[in-house]
Amino acid sequence: MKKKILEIKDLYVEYITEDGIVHAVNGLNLELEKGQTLGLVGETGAGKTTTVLSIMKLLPEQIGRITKGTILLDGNNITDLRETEMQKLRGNAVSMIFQDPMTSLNPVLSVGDQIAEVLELHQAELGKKRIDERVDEILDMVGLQKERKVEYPHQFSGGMKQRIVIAMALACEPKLLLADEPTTALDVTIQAQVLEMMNRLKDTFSTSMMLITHDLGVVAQTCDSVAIMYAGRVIEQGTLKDIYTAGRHHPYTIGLFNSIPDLTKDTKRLSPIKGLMPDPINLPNGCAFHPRCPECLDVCRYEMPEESCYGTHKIRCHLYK
Amino acid sequence: MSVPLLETKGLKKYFKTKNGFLHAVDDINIKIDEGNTLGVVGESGCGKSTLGRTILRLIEPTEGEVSFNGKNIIEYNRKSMVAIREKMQIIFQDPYASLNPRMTVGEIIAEPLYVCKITKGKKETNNRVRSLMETVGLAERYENAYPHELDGGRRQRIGIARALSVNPKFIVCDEPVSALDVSIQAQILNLMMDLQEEQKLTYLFITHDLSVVKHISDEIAVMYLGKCVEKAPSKELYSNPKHPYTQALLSAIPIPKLDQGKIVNIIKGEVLSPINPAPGCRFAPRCPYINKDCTVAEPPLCEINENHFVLCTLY
Ligand SMILES: Nc1ncnc2c1ncn2[C@@H]1O[C@H](COP(=O)(O)OP(=O)(O)OP(=O)(O)O)[C@@H](O)[C@H]1O
Ligand SMILES: Nc1ncnc2c1ncn2[C@@H]1O[C@H](COP(=O)(O)OP(=O)(O)OP(=O)(O)O)[C@@H](O)[C@H]1O
Ligand SMILES: [Mg+2]
Ligand SMILES: [Mg+2]
Repeated sequence: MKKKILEIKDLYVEYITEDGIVHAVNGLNLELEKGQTLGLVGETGAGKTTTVLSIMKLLPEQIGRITKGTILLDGNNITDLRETEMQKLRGNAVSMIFQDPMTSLNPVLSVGDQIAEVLELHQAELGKKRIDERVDEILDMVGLQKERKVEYPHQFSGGMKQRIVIAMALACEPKLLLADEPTTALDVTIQAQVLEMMNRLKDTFSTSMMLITHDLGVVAQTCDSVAIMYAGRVIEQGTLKDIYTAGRHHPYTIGLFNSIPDLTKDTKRLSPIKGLMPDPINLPNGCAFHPRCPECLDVCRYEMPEESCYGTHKIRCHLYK
Repeated sequence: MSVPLLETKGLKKYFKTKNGFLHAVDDINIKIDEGNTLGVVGESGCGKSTLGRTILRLIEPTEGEVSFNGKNIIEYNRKSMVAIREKMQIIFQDPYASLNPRMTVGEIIAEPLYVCKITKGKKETNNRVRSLMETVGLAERYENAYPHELDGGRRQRIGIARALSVNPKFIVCDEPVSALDVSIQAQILNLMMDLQEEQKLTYLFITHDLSVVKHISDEIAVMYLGKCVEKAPSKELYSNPKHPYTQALLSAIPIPKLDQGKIVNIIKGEVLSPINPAPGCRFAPRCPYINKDCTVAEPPLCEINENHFVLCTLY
């Protein structure tokens, strides 16, 4: 058996709000083998960011908490790790690219200084001169001119800020990289460049990656396996082949693929999945997707389906038993 | 010929930086007829958001004209500008930074209603806020929630509701669906196209998603480092891309199917600095077809087919 860098078992995460308890993650199981890239896909609000924040132990204090389940990082249980211990892991063992680049950028520090700061923290052995050179290399790697390192975050466009954040995360050469929609703000040519860069990192340092994205094209290009989330659960997972070419799928997965505008056809209207994500404060009984499901059976309304396995391909749906 | 609803002439925005002037928007000439959509695509940082904001005078242009209904709004004073704002709205790129974290969802949507005095009294405002929330698919219970409690998709819906609240004629849509998953994206695009038909809305639609832009736009402008390098009707641009940068863009679209082969990034090389840029074509240092004319002077704008313009020495 291959070594697992990450194993999440039966994870539950909730947020406490004025209106009630938000059930963001509800019994999530995920595994990631060393050196592999897992694509995490799902509707907005499905709990993708919450999942990676739980791994990083960066859930908002007082409000968000893990109520059940375990998270193993490289075989070690980190679920109850103390903050001081966790700090040692962040950046080196596991690093995160945030969905919102301003979360990781300091508005009053020049971009060059910020990258240098990260390098000093994690690769102090480099020395001042080498760090300065590395800053230039890193900026170049993400397609930004090195003269611009004296500028501040607000002087850059959204996508450029995202590139700086990506550069900072990659600079530490982490073992596990959790990338929360890293290329969503980028155009396709820069995206191709960034993905190429992440692939190179994977090959050179055998970095494992979890890539959250809405772009099923990006998944097809970069991932080894895919997990599709709905209302805090993984409802289908498997290898790329399982998800893109196999005959059977969760109705939600089918809906996702049908929603993508097809470049080769002229369609007047797109065909989204009907309805909206359920209210996470008040999740429906049975399968959480049933109110929107075109294939809904009676049993779907009251019974949570078990996972059916077809080799590497797993589907959580009553249609498959 | 009728007057286009929106037109820019020689529009420029240069930012002052430590090392000189950054040419963010450099001589942009576009026209959009009422009820139409102009898609704007281009490399991240090429000036798309700056263009959108300059058109609305959220940023003052360095030079050039912006005409709305045939009148140059750059000459408008503050008061006339407030009146015209009602007609011209924006949906911001960043659903995180653009929403005031201390206001509830209901308050955020109601704000432009107060500013532009659209509704009278609290009750009417509340009703209007509720119906806007319904239009964009936000459940009523979010009215008193704060933006940070919501996921990216719902936050973007707030932005759309706020822009629609004042019944605008023209909306700059700055990557309105980039943060959304494909299903919600399809819902929002359908919604925006329905609203466009019902209310004869005119869009400047900024995005880097090339399948989305093809779907929604009548015409598409491709920008590169502040310049519009190619402009054509949607279909024409995809079937007959002429500028080497456009060709590179279209070939880098990741297709959601297996066995499409790895994407080869055909453009390599240093990006020209947008600060005091060197003369000639700005794409030249990365262009696979570079020739000696490219670095001498800016290439002429050439109409190679009806309504299909290219800025390149090859033509
Ligand atoms: N700080 C918070 N307080 C209350 N609820 C929250 C908080 N953060 C997230 N949530 C809720 O938890 C659920 C999961 O959110 P999460 O951000 O993990 O979704 P996501 O899958 O990352 O979505 P997106 O694709 O839009 O980024 C959502 O319903 C969201 O509203
Ligand atoms: N306030 C500012 N001060 C200085 N430079 C700025 C400012 N705002 C933007 N710029 C610069 O202007 C250029 C264009 O930025 P803009 O935000 O318009 O790009 P964009 O095309 O919208 O990119 P993206 O796709 O990443 O959103 C960039 O080089 C950016 O760094
Ligand atoms: Mg998220
Ligand atoms: Mg922008």
